[in-house]
Amino acid sequence: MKRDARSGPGLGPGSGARARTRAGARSEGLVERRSGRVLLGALGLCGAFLLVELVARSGAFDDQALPPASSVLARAAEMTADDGFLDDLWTTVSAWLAGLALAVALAVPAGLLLGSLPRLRAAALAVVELARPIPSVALIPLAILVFVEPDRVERSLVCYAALWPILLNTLYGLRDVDPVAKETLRSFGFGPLSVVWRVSLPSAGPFVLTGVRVAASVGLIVAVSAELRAGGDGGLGVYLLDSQSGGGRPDLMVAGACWAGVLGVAANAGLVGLGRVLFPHSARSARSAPRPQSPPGSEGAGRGPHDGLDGAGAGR
Amino acid sequence: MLEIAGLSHRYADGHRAVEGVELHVASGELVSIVGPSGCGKSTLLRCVAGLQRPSEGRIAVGGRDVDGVPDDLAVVFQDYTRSLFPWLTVRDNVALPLRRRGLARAERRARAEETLAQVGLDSAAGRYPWQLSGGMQQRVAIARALAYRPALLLMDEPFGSVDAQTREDLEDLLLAVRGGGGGGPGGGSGGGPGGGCDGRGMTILLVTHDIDESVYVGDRVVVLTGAPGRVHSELRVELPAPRDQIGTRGLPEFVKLRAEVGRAVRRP
Repeated sequence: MKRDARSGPGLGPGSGARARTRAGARSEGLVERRSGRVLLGALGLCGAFLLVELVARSGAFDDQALPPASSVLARAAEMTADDGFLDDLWTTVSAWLAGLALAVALAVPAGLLLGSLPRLRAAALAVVELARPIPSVALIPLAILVFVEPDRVERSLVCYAALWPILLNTLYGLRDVDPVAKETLRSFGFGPLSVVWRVSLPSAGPFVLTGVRVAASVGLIVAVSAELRAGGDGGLGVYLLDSQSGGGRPDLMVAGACWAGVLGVAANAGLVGLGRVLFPHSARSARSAPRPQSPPGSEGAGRGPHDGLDGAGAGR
Repeated sequence: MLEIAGLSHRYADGHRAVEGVELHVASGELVSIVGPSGCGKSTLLRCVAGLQRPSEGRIAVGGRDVDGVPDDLAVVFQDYTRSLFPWLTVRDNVALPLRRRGLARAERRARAEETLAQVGLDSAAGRYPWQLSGGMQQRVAIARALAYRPALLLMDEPFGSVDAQTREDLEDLLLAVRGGGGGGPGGGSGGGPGGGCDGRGMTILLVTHDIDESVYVGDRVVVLTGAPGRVHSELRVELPAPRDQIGTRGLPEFVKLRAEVGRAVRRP
């Protein structure tokens, strides 16, 4: 908090970003340290919050169009006690997760299959490259026609949108598997399926997970879009439409949108955390890969035996 | 145990790695292979391991022609960092191949830890390979091969990046594991000085660029010529067992052999 006071002069209206760069230029250490980055990030958030609040209260905009940040925050907090909203939120979350899960269940095995069979891969990639650029929202009308029920429409669209990033990342991951690692297992007499299961899959795992992260954010967009268009009994999109009708409540709409953002952030954080637990080797690669040649003594001294087990990601 | 006849390999780019290699290795024998760099030593090992099909020639392991990876084989790759699995702990890295031995989980674990202790890494069992120094990683790769107790062990410059002291320890470990060391063909009777493994003589093919090492651990030294590699000469090592780092290396016989191998390598 001392730092907070010191960077005070830079923290005027609209200067959140400037405060960050200025503080960064003054002391490089602040950007490099984790605590420093958290502090600067918090400052940026406060700055943005203040900016929106001040602009909204200044009367420069119609307060219907731009609700003050404080009232949005208050509405968002109240919503946690609103059962109707929570039902809507849960409808969106369940459809989103179901679509994602289905996409993972389809794309990962498909990726493994294509990755193991180069000819099939080459043939399939042409199809993928053609189907992937189609925006999922462009398929909403078709999905409504085919699936009729709104929740099925939503789930299938999320699944479609999520398929491609997971499939492509799985393929990239498999291409990146070290041939020496595969040969090692082969030389011990393991068959091709064992090699896929015990080397290719764990080795490609971090890539697959990155694909799932991308898919999760795309899937959320598609889920809310589908609700906005296809309607249905509930969902975040339906809630937003309801807030829009009858004069409209911009504060509720922005607060609802903020909750959608919270979902996205939570999913990303959860998947990053999962990656650290499942693939500690890839979590460290960004940090310690450039110095595998350091003398044995320094490593023994610098890293305790527990460091990697539970703290591999702690430094990030 | 191992028969190589008329082995030639030419890569797709036209590079001839080995040509007309003839080699017979008896069961329980430790053969060192030395030669100038780029003489196809690694290619030779890869062909024996069934990882690469030679352009010409015949390889048989245990009387059976090599077509795919032969049974009961382990390889210590030169590139140990890439050969270890970073997503597994050191213990699991060593234990994984033991699945092929039909051992239960507890037995695999126990044997992995026992072998790690042999290479002095018992305290690192729960860590990940990338948390260890290069030399320690290499010892993990060696422990993994030893724990598997293969009939045929192929090692591609396995002691290349460890410090001198560790290197000597690992050389002695290798001699101990195969039961006494220096026993010559068909040797492997009884446990060696520091033996702790099951002591049966595994057949070992060791590629090295260290002339002293090739003589110290080998029953026989095979010198290859520069590319394309052919067998330049073979020297039988008749050094008394047990060998030890100070005594054996001081013997006139050792010095003489070392000089012979050195001359053969330098004047192909």
